[in-house]
Amino acid sequence: MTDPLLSVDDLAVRFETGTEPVRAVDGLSLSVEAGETVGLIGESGCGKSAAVRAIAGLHGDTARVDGAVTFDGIDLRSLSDERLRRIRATRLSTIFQDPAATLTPTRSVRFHLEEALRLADRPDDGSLRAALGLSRRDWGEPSRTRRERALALLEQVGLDDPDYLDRYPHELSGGEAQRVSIATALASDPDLLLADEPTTALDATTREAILDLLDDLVAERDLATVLVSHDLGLVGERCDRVVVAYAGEVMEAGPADRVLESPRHPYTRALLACRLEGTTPGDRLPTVDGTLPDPTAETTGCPFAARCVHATESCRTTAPPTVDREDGGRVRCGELESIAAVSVDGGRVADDIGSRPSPPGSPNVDTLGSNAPASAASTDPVDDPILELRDVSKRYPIDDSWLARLRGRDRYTNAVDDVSLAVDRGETLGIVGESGAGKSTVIDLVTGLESATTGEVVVDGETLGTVDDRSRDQLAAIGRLFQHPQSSLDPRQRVRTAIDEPLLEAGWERDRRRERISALLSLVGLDDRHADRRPHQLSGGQCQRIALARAIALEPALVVLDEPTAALDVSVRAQVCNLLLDLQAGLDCAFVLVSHDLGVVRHLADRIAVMRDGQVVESGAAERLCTDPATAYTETLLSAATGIGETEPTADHQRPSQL
Amino acid sequence: MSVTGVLANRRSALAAILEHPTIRALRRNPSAVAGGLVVATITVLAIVGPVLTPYDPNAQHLGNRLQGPSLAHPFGTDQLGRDVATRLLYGARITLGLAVLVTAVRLTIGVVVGLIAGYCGGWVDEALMRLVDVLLAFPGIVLALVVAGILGPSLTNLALALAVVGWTRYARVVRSSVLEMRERPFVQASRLTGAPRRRVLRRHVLPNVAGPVVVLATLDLGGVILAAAGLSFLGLGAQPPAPEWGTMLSTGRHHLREASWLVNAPGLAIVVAVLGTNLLGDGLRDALDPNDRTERSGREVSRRD
Repeated sequence: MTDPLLSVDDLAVRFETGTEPVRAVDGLSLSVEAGETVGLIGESGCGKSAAVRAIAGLHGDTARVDGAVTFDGIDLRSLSDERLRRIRATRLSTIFQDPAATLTPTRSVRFHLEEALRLADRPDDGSLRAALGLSRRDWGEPSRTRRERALALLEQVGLDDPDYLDRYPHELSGGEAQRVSIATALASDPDLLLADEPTTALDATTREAILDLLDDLVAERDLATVLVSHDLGLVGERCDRVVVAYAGEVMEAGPADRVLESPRHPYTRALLACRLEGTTPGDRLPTVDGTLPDPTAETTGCPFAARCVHATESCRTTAPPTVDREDGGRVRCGELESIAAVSVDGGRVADDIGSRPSPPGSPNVDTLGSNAPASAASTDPVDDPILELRDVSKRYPIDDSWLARLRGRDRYTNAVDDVSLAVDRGETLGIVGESGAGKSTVIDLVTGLESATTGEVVVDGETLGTVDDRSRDQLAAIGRLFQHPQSSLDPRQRVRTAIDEPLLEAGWERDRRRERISALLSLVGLDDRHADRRPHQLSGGQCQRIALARAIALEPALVVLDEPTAALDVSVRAQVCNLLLDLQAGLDCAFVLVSHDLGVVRHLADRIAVMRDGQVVESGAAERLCTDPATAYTETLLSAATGIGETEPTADHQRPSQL
Repeated sequence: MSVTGVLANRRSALAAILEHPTIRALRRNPSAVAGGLVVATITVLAIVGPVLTPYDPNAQHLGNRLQGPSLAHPFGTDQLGRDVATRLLYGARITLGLAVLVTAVRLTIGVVVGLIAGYCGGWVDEALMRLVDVLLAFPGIVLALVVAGILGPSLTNLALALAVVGWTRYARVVRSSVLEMRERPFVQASRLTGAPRRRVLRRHVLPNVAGPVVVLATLDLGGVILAAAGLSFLGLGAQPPAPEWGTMLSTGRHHLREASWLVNAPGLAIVVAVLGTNLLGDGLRDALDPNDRTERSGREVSRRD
């Protein structure tokens, strides 16, 4: 076997902080052959991004990097910054997670592409004149040629329209921006592509398109790729090999299809089981309980031991051995035999993890709210709805400058166009659609952050205005969960104060509030210890739980959930789904669940409305809509959704186990 | 509780302050430490000044005039035989007091205007921001000159003049922060609880815009010291015999040839004070800037993936 194009050996990244160093990556090894795609997979905080940045040499002075990174025989770690920059300009490209943040907002697409081309052509020209595009040598190449080369790059990423060249990053959608950043990455015709969660910030349909595009490019150019993701199922099937990392260490590595088919390490199994494939809507999902270990603490045993269902005493004290898989992979686990005995088939993992006792929140559910069964919701026409939207439209001005208005040229866009919806008591209505379909505006209208241009929002029989017009009771009747858990909490407020706010505004007394806060915390699966922390000390999942506790503080009859799982890992997503199901059963409230991911919505919703360009294109019972979509658009969404598509290999693999 | 218990509590409280992330970031920043020390020293000197010197800042000893620096008079004496070092110490009270007062007034006006403009939006915002634009269009020191000229030369009028022209920057900084804050989910969430605007502003918006405002105020202190000294130098501020640094410079320049210390000493004092506050301001900015905080950056990087 020839030497791999990239080989990373025993890579360690430590961040020096005030007290003890944070170990982001701890002994990670992987190798990539030319033309091969390797997936680097793990939850948030597993050190995946830190590892990618270390490979590309992007860490500054705050990080200490150890280990060897060899790229095509060159030891990247020993290179000077200048030499490393030259390699990045010509042979090694990186794509980052957030495309909007990768592109310079004040520069056009054309500038980005031409800059990348220029750097690839003349990586040694570091003069200021060149950087400003003033270099005499640039004049040698007519601007038409440069434009054509930039256009050719755009075509490769599926943006055929030359108009794109003159657009600025804010004029691009998330998917378009990611395509442009892929185009800049391809400008140098690289040998190695590092893609750091290239699709996490995108919605489901765009995600598929970008992954397909990467697939094609890799096949065309014989490009070696490291594809970083938190979703083993989603990305694993597009890779030749996968490396599953946990707490900065490799847990399992091997050929992608084999690892997906028969995962050996309990962590790999748990990650796979978190997916929505083959689950019955409304069922509790298997989860990986617990959180990542403290990265500052020295660990002796297996880092996953604390969350592992199979962990034994020796797992916690001694480092697990690395065992070779029969197919050429590696597993780092000491209890493989006992695990194999528990579940013979890889596809059965879901059961042995899913059968764990329900979280501490659920027994307390009955202390709040009524005990009426949540299943009361029916698919019959709604006769006593908790929420009704009657022909609601929301127009936003595109150009409402006084000059335009004076000339009668004020233009508007319909974010929501004549939408009528109804939600029954205790039922869950899912609203799906791509970004920009008007889902969030519907939510803003329901919660009163926006006022409808025409139409009525009726909650519990009363027509409501905006927040400022609503009475205390009307406000208390609706809870809202915001999309990004971290940003929906005031960074300067402690958790206790955050949950306290709605109670305080509702005029509760101090003692009653304190009791209620404790009750709410245990309801969402946290305890009083978390009450004195601040948001930045909590994980994304924990923040989402706090935000949820806040939303249900006053026992609302309707809770509006805006993309409750979009910003979360697969493992945390499953936890949040379970929590939502538990809460609804306990509180008997109606949910309006907005998401671009039909898979999540199908799992939680009784009825689904599909939105596109501000209009409801289809709605109906969840089961019917998912099995027999009436419109082509719904079909597109279905094929992109997690856990519904027919072509998912993991779904196939699970089938034999059910026989 | 015993005395030692109280003391131990004090100490742990102090330790807690010193271990606060912002303070820790400050302690690691050399310019912040240097600036902080300078500002602290000047403040202490201004407070305990009278204890340190045996002289009266305004008592004249005509037989002792224009003496060079000596042990008895470290910065010499002026044309009326007054000890320059003593006058500098007393002058520090005037300068610091004025700077803090003016900055506080600027900050208050600016923050209130910025909050109202940012949160109310609409025509209120337009009107307030156009006022700010108009004020910004004039050079601040010239405007202050005019105000001080109209009101007549005195320390109070100087303070008033400086306060009136300097609040616009605060208003702009606060307004843009508020505009950004207003769209944040946690502010919207607070609105949904039914909290009235005033409370949303006080509870969520104000604490989150406080950082940049504090930095701006610290940096502004130096500017105010300089402007106050400048206007006093021109005779529009403190009047002789008040030991204000700018006034001392102004009267000292008549004796520049024979007694250079009359200019050097207050000039040096102004330079040190301005430099100190600027260094502290820079350090604070680095410490409070969430993007540049080594404290958090490790965690954020490791969480990003």
